[in-house]
Amino acid sequence: MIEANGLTKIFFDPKRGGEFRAVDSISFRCEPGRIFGLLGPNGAGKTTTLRILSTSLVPTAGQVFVGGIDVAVHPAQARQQLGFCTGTTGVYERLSPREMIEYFGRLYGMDEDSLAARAHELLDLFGLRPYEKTACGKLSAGNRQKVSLARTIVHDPPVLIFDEPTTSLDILVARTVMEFIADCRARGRTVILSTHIMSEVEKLCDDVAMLHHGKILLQGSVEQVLAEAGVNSIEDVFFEHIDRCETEPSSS
Amino acid sequence: MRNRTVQLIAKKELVDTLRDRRTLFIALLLPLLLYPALLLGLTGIIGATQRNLASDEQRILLDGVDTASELGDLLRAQKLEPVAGDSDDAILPQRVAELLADIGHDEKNDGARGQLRLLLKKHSYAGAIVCDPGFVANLGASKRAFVSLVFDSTDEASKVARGKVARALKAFADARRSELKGRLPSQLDLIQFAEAPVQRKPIELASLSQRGAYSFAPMLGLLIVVMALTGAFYPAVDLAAGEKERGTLETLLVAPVTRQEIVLGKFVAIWIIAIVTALLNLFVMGITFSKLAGMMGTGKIAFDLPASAVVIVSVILIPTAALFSAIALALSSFATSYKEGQHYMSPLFLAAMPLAMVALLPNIELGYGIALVPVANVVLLVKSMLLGGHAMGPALVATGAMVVYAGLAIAAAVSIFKRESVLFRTGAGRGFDASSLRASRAGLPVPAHGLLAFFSTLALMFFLSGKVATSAAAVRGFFLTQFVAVLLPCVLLAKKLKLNLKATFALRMPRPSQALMAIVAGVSSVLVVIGLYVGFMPERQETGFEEIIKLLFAEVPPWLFVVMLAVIPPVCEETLCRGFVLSSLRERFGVRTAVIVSALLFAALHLDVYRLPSTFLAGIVLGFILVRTGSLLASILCHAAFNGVVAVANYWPWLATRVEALDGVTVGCAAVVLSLVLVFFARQVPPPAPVASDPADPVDLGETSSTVH
Repeated sequence: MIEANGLTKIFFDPKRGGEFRAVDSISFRCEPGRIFGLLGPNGAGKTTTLRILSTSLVPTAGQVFVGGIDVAVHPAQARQQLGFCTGTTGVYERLSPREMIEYFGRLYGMDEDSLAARAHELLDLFGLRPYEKTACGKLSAGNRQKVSLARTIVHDPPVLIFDEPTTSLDILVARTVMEFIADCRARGRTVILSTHIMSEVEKLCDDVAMLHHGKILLQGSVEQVLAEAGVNSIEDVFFEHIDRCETEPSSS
Repeated sequence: MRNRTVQLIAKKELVDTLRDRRTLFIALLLPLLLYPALLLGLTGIIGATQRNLASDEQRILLDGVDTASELGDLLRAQKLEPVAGDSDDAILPQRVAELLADIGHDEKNDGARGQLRLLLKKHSYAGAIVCDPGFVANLGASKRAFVSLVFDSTDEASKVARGKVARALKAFADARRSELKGRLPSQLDLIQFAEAPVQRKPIELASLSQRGAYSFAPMLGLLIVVMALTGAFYPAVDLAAGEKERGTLETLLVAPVTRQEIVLGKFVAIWIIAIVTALLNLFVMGITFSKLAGMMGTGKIAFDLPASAVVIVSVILIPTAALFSAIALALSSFATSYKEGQHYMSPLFLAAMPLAMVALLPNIELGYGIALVPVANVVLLVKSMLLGGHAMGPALVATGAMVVYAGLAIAAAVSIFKRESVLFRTGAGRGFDASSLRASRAGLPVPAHGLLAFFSTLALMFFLSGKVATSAAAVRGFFLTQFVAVLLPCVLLAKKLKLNLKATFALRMPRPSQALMAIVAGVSSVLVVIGLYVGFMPERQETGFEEIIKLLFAEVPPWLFVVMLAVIPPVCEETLCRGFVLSSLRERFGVRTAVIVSALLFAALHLDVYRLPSTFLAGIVLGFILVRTGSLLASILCHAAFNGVVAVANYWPWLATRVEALDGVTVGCAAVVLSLVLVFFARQVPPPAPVASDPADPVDLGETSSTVH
């Protein structure tokens, strides 16, 4: 479970005139066994929000609980609960898939016996067995992404964060990733997914929050959001809200 | 921090780096292939400098033959200056003859050899020609004539003079031979004459191992620095900037490891690679050199380095590699790509090389003061180890200083790595473009302005400096340096950029208590600094700076001297260093970094390696005072008090004797007073940071330095 209360992040950027609010007091909840979609155009604050959840960034204000752990107080314990994957996170090109899985398994403090079993299991799960000793740099993009996914779940985390996981992937690899995400929900994990591809949202998400200029415009379950707007697709809801926000900036 | 995690990361990074052919090639293989080329190049350079010496005139002691004789003329024709010796010291020729007799043909009498070397050096002779009685007469009569030649092959001038003397002697003998040919055309006589004059085996003044070390010593230290630097840099760029570029850093950051563990793990891997690179290079270099020595013939040069020197060189390599590894890691953390990381190599080299070069100057030796100067101390330590006759104290101080600097650099790397603005810096939007050169919204200069002002000052100082031979020139030079070189560039820049002058130069009155405390800080720091120097640098040499001060002292009336020393430099230097430079760094890098960097630049401005540690410490104190009071006048007062004590001591014998013979108690008290004063300043509430002219858009300085654990 993830719970965010009044998250705010202010960056200092001279180019944007000093202070810049990337995320502006947002709150939401993600439940186990459900996929929470964080929607928004580029620059809305999605990546910043997810980096705060994954403890890479410290919020200027607000609190985050991952599996009931306050990330500000126990960041290491919170990270133990988390799997984090983005479309751009790379793999070590000079390590093999097995070494990659083992390295991260050890960083997550797994003992050697259970790690060996887990590596075996993951290599089979993703069909990486034929390449387990090949340097990742020599693998195809699809297999590299599979290594990345295996690395994400090596410690079997209850909470998974995907930040635009299909960006810059070809369509077949993207499908593998989406199937994997759906599978995580089936196993009862808490999943949070950021994206600006509405078809992914409609296929995968149970709950959504729409982010624009660092603020949440609306949130709720997919059915609820569609019913309130009286339209058929999330895409329509999305454009309607963005347009409204652009024309009357004071209303938000 | 858990050791196991650090080890785990270090091990993985080592494996990763060793599998990278690019890093392997640049850090390990390339230098090994370069040595033959390097050696050939060096021979060329040495040849060039020798040609230079060939056109200079060397002083040669000529004994047993009149300097006005034909041999004297022949020596002069070779651009030598034959001197009878007794013109310097009536007993000098006799003393030389005695030592020569002591040495005889005993290759092992290094004691007498050393004495003779010192004796000739003292009277600045490049060598000596000692002819046996009847040398000229015997030659003329085609009898065996003996001459002793004395040279020092570790001295370039002496080596050149040796060649010139050989040519002159040959010409002299040839002339005798042609004379004899006309008079006594006997075949027998000619054969006999072919042996004459009999030149005894030239006396070599340097011992055998000194000869080997001589060609080795100045370069070895420099090479250790270069090897440790390149050995550290490429892996560092790959492990920090490269990892960011490939998108793997973010996965590492969300693993349950602290930033400190990541930095230390990476640091350990880089450190090991740097040490191995340097050791491997030294080993191959040793082989190359002994091969070269073998080619030159045995007995001329020996490369048997004492085991203790090898151990100490390896020991000093450890903190040296640590320092460079940490700095390289910190620098490459700023870069977003491997390519950008490589660009940071040149500034690091540019900073390290002058420090290393200082140690190659002939007169500089390892003392307590210079042992505190990073890089220079390493090169000097290696040099003194190889040439022998080193003092243990400075060697320990140098090693200790390097350990401390390495520790500080690691701490800096960790704190840089914790900064979100550095870790998540993206390539776009942060490049160097025209907007980087605009003044900040608060009307303060940006870092590029600070550097521009500083380097303009350095360039002007260089171009305005002339030969300071006379007192009048010293006075003129002083005013030109202070007003034109130091003060003018930053004031002009501030005007041109339409900066907020009040904020940039901290134009604000200090409170009376702050002013008083600033003066106390100045007086106590001068006592601490002098105390440290008297205590740790007994061998201190006179520097160019002191000569200028002496010339000034001789020229101007006392009141002007005090004003010139105690008022003008504080005003000009504080305006540049604490006013302009510190303001330019503050907004972008935070107060702490700004104070440290501006103090470093302030120290560099004095162009004197011996005063580098003291001027740096003074710069920190001055920067601290400015930051806590927000008043340039406060730091000027402190600087003025510091200089004032030195200036007044020239006229007030009571003060001068106290200052020159500082005892431990006084220095200790001064140190206590200084720390109390610093506590006072630490408790001052600094004035609010200057804000942007647009009140709706305040500048938040706090955010740039937020950290994660």
